[in-house]
Amino acid sequence: MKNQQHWNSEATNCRRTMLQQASAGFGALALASLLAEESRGETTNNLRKRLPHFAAKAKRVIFLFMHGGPSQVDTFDYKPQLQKDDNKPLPFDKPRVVSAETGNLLASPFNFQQYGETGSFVSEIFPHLAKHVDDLTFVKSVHGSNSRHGAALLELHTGSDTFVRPSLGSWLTYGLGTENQNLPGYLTICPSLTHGGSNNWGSAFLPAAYAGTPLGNAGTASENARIPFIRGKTTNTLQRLELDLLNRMNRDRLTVTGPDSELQSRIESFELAFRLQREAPEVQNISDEAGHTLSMYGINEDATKDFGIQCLLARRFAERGVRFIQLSHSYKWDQHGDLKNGHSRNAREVDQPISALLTDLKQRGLLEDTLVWWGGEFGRTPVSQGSRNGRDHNPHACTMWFCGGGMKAGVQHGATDEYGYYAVRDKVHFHDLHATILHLMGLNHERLTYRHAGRDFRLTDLYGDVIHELLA
Amino acid sequence: MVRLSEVLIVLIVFASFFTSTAAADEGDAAVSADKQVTAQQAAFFETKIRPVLVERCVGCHSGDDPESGLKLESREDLLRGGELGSTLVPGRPKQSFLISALKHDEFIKMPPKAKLPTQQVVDFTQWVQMGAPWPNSGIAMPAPKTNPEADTGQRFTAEQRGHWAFQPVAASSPPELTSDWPQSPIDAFILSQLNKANLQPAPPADRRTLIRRATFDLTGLPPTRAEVDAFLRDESSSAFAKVVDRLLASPRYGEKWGRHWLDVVRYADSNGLDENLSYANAFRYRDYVICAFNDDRPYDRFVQEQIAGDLLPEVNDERQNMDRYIATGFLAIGPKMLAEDDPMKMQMDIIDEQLSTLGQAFMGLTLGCARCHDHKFDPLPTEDYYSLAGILKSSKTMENHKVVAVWYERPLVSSDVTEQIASIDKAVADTNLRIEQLTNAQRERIRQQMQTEFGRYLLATAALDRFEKQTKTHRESVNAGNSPFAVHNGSVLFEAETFHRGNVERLTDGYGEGIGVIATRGAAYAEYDLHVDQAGQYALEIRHAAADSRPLNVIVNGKTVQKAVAGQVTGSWYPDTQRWFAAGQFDLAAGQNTLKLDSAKVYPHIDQLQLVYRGPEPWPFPAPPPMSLTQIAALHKVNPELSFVWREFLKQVAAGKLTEFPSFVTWQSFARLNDDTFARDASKVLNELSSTDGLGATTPSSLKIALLQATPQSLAEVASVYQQLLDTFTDQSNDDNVLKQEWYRLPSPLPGPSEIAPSMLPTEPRRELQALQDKLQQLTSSRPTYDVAMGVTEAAAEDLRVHLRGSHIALGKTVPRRFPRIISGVEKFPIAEHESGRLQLAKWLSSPQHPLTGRVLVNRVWHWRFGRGLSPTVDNFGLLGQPPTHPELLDWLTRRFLDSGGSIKQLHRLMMLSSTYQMSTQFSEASRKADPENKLLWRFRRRRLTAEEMRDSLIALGAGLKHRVGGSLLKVKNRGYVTVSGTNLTDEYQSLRRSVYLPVVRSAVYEVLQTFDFPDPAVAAGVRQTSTVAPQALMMMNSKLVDRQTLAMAQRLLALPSDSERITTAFEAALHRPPDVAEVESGRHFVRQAQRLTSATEQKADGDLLRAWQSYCRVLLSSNEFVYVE
Repeated sequence: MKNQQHWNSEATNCRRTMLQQASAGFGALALASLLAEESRGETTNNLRKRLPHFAAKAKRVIFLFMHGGPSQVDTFDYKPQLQKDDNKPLPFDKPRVVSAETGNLLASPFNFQQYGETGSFVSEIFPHLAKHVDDLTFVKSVHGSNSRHGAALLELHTGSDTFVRPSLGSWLTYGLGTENQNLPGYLTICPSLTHGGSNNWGSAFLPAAYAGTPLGNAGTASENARIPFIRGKTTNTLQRLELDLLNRMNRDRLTVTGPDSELQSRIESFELAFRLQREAPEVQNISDEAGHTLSMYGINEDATKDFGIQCLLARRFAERGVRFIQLSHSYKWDQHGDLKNGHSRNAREVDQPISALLTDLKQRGLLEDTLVWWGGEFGRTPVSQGSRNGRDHNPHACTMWFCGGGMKAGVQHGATDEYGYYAVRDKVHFHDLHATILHLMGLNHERLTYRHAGRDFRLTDLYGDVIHELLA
Repeated sequence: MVRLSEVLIVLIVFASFFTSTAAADEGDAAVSADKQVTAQQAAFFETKIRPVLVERCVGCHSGDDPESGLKLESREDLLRGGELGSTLVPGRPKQSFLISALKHDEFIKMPPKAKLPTQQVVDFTQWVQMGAPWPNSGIAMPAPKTNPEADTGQRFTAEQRGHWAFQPVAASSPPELTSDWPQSPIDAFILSQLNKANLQPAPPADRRTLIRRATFDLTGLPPTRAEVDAFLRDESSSAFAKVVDRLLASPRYGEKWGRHWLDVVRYADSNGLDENLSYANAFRYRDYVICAFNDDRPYDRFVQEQIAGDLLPEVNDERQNMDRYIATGFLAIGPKMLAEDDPMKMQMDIIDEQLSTLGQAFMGLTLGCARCHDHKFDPLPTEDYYSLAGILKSSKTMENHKVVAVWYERPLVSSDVTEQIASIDKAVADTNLRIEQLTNAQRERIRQQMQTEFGRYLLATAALDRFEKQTKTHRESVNAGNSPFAVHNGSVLFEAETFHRGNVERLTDGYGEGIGVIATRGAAYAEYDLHVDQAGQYALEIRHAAADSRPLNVIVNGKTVQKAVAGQVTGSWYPDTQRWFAAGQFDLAAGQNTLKLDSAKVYPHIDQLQLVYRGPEPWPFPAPPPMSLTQIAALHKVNPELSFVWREFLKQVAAGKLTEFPSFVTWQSFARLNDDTFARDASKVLNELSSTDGLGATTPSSLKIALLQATPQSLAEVASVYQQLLDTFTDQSNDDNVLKQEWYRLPSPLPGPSEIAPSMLPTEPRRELQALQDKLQQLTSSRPTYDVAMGVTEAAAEDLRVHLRGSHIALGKTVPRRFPRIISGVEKFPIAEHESGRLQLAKWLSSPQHPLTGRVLVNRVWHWRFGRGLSPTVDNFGLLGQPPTHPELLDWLTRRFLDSGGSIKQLHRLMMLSSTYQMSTQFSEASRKADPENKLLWRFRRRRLTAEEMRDSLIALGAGLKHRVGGSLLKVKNRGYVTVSGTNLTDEYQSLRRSVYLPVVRSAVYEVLQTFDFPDPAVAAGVRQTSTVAPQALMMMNSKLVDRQTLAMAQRLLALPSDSERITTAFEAALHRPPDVAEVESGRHFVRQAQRLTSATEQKADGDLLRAWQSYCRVLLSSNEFVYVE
């Protein structure tokens, strides 16, 4: 029934360890009694905490996903030559495969300035983030393979733009299990239902337990985003009464069936659900935060409220041991037109909240072992689209940045050509990013494999190199 | 021989290239290097190049069958290149494929796994630059590893050839045993192995357990109380056989077992991944599968129909012929990335998906693994992959591979209807041709008109500009504090999204400021309440953007007054292409009126609307009446529609959005001036023109000179300067004129509009065009409607070239269409040149000699019945799969299955009427120790209900299932987006029909099913995982589904007279046994307590009895006893 072949073969073979920690759902609960009674060697707790391959620098990841594809040349990849050559034709070839017809070079409508001791260039639309540049690791040579949103999202999240594959968070949960057994280990807040939808947080052929748990979706305000089925009509007291009878019936049943770890697990899963139902809303109840914290995240301003809440939730879930937390700034960055207004508005919505998150994580000592990761599914063309006020998709170059979690601060890695069209120096493919993130989490991307349909799959397929230059 | 001659040609071509280079460029490093290698160069090669070649390259690129036909053992090898062509151009690193591969710059990246250290790549580059000096050129590298089999001409190893699954199905017979346990030969096979392991089979299951098990297993539903009672009463020896026969005959059987097959063929109702569109016709394939199981279709026919149903000889039964087309949906319903900018990649990805599914479903072979390289474990060379891929390439799955791509669908019609359709299609084509001729002629006329009336259009545009300012002023002054919909002083301009009623979606985001409306699903409308001071005739104008034509109807006060307005295509959905269009005239009464814009389909993106008084009542206000845009155009004797085109163009120029039209910037400088003070202000403009800054610097000189000469005193005079200049262009001598180039550069309207609307035309052609369009509409509506099915058909037959490393732009040698060569002993059906080979593939697969097809199916059925396949890797019979625990049993069953003509129902009967199936799940510590995974079947496997069984049972016990075989619940129209926002087919999922009929949306599977391990519909899944996770418990505790169904169940229980009857009935329905005394007592106690708790919370005096019983039902339906089948 279980065709799982875990990478950590010692662990699965060690029956005693497995059964001691065998349980259900989000929890690793010692079911010692099971050791005596266990009848079927098949049930394992998919989510019990597991040791990494080697010492990890990061314990958790917060991915700030900018859906739509932010423009590198309007945010962090300053290109003076592009500013000079506005409206001139691109002096080299455009890619063989493009999404749409584009025109001449288009200078950024934004001013850039240097910040911090590192003198990093940041566009005027990120005034808050600019204060953090010395803590950030910029990777300016990120590239993917596909120029369409759906394929690019899937490649970014799962490593494949062609097939349904497990998502990065699923691989991490598969590799490392869950810290807090009362909460899911992998959360995605307000994810988009399009462009791959649930495949972007799905577990594909990995066991379903490794799939991300969505809180709401792109159509939900973040303050209303909830775990599915977390609340129903039944009152707590009545539900407790129900669970007590259910427990009795299920335990009585065990005396008829004989020992069965799966039945045991199911008994436990209801208790876990009951605890989860209490804990998750507590994490999401931000009313216990100080007023200045709420205003730091911009939660009392309309423009920044939604992403501010997402960022604050990220910190609260991170504090409670959730391993992979993805936030989505939903499909707004796709500026085929109206670049100036669009990017200004988008940056305004996320700049202060993200800055607050970094500050907050740092002052709580969480930044050290939390990897914060910012980026979109692709960059944009330095040439114009439409009536010279927008940019098309560009998988050949985008800028991402990281903070904390064992990344080397104040680094500018890789470079694009003089206009920012192609990554040219120290190119970093999505596969390389995945390998590096797994590495920070203590996992060797070549060893984290899963046997499915006759072959061992891994997140990075046959590719991916850890970018050691990025590591602190 | 072919290869040798190819090599020779390459050599000759290269040699001639090389000599000519040498002749042309005496000093070239390449030449000197070829002549002699200096000691320094030799040292460089020996220390930096040769070691890398030996260590990193020749492992694959050497011997008789090198990777991609490329050997790297000598300089000649490099020069000769491989299937990809030349590898080395001495002296030219940039042209040397070797270097780009080492740099990992292009599609081919070598070495494949890890790039060489940068220094080594630099060394190679330098070496090529030197001219690739190779001491002792021609001497081979150290002997590489060669595949010994390759030398003897034997492609596969003995181990590969001897793999159990590739052997013919053996004629085994059951072991002779003395025990009386066996009822069937199956039992002899099972018992014999148990005996060998010193194990005893568990005792038989009791009758209640057995009927519950059999009913869930065969129909996916719980037995009714009456069915249980009847079985308990039947004391005949054939009692259970009767139950099995009854269940096999039930239509519910196909719904359960069809679903098993649908897992294998990754059935879904959308393509998933990127642009997630509705496969609204996929359900026909699903229904076909359900019916095939209900009809017990012979398996060989089932296989043939799904792969090549369209190619089977037609029979004298229309329904059956159509069924066969529908069956090929198997190949068509897979996941597809429909938004893929690279069409070649899209096509090969689709073929790969088809091949992977086909291989796993029918043969348990992971063919997909051989796409990029020879299969790592199985004897499936890449060549065999592309042989099969050629068959699918020669079949048509897609209409096109554009973004967003369109999949092929086959009409399901009889031949006479086909003829009727053909004649209508012919008439449509004729009409379209006539329309094209007419519009082409008119386009030419308009182009000429644009030239002769250039000045007039410029003047009209200036007037329109002034008018818009005026209207805005009207709106602002009149509507201050009032409704924007009150038409005072004759005109109103309003935003489209301010409608009062309607189902169109307001989009205020992503399209710039204040942009209008769009419908997302089906028929849409927007309705406005307008207050009009003055009765009379009004003109409506609409400003919209549209990439496709989406005409609307105008309905005033419930009456359609105008049809097909706002159908113009502007080029995109974005604001930069928005334009005004006249949308007709109609009468309004004084007072309240409603204006409705209505579409049977989707909406254009509308930004604003404008309504202007036109008469015929006398103008009642002191200020002069505002004119409509149309009126102004008429005043200037130009076509209103075309004047709008001009106006939008000039507006963009004025806004700086179009930068290559300086002469029109100059025009706008004049057009901005007031009539009263024109002469005075124009002189300022003329001054600027004569200077070297501003307009003087940008205005093309011919225009500048003409304007300065003319010193215009009115805007009309400026216009005539422009007109005169244009008139001189007709003179051939001015072809190079800068101004002319500017004026005829798109999007300037001077070359004429790309879309011709009837309103642009004079009366006669307009009438004709209108008539033609009406005829087109009438033809379209008279075209018989018919169902279509997703599926495949034949395409132009072609052999494929091997795609090196899976890349569609790195092509190797051509391979013929044929079948995997590792499978032997099956009749090979020859594929004619013009045929795809699908029919032959179908026959080959379904041949009784095929070692895999029958075994794989029998093993699947065993897995679904006993919870574990005889080979547990049901989708993988390759070398990495697990061999069967009972190989003789698998072969014996397969033989019986083939002999029965491939009857799956007989296979069920065979399996179920065995002691093995009828064992209990009784635990035995000793047996568990010996065989913890129960591989040898010492007891029956307990199993959890599947996702569908869970939901279906809840409904069966609650509100009741609505039974009907077939049909679609999906409300999203074909090719419409299935996941636009958070509203995820809510209505569809609330249906009370069985779960197999719920739409399966890829990338967004219904969460109730997903929670209970419904497989990802993107991949073939012969095995479903069973997870036990907290979200399942949450769903039982809190979901609406459980809430509704338990409430319905409680309502039925409450109708019974006593607590004990209620409890007994609930037990019999859910657990199929009566409660014992203690259970009745604890149930009563629970309900009393629960009632008190509800009263405490809901302020009801005597508590909520219904809710208390609902709680009780929830507990029963959450219990392990309900959720597991023993």
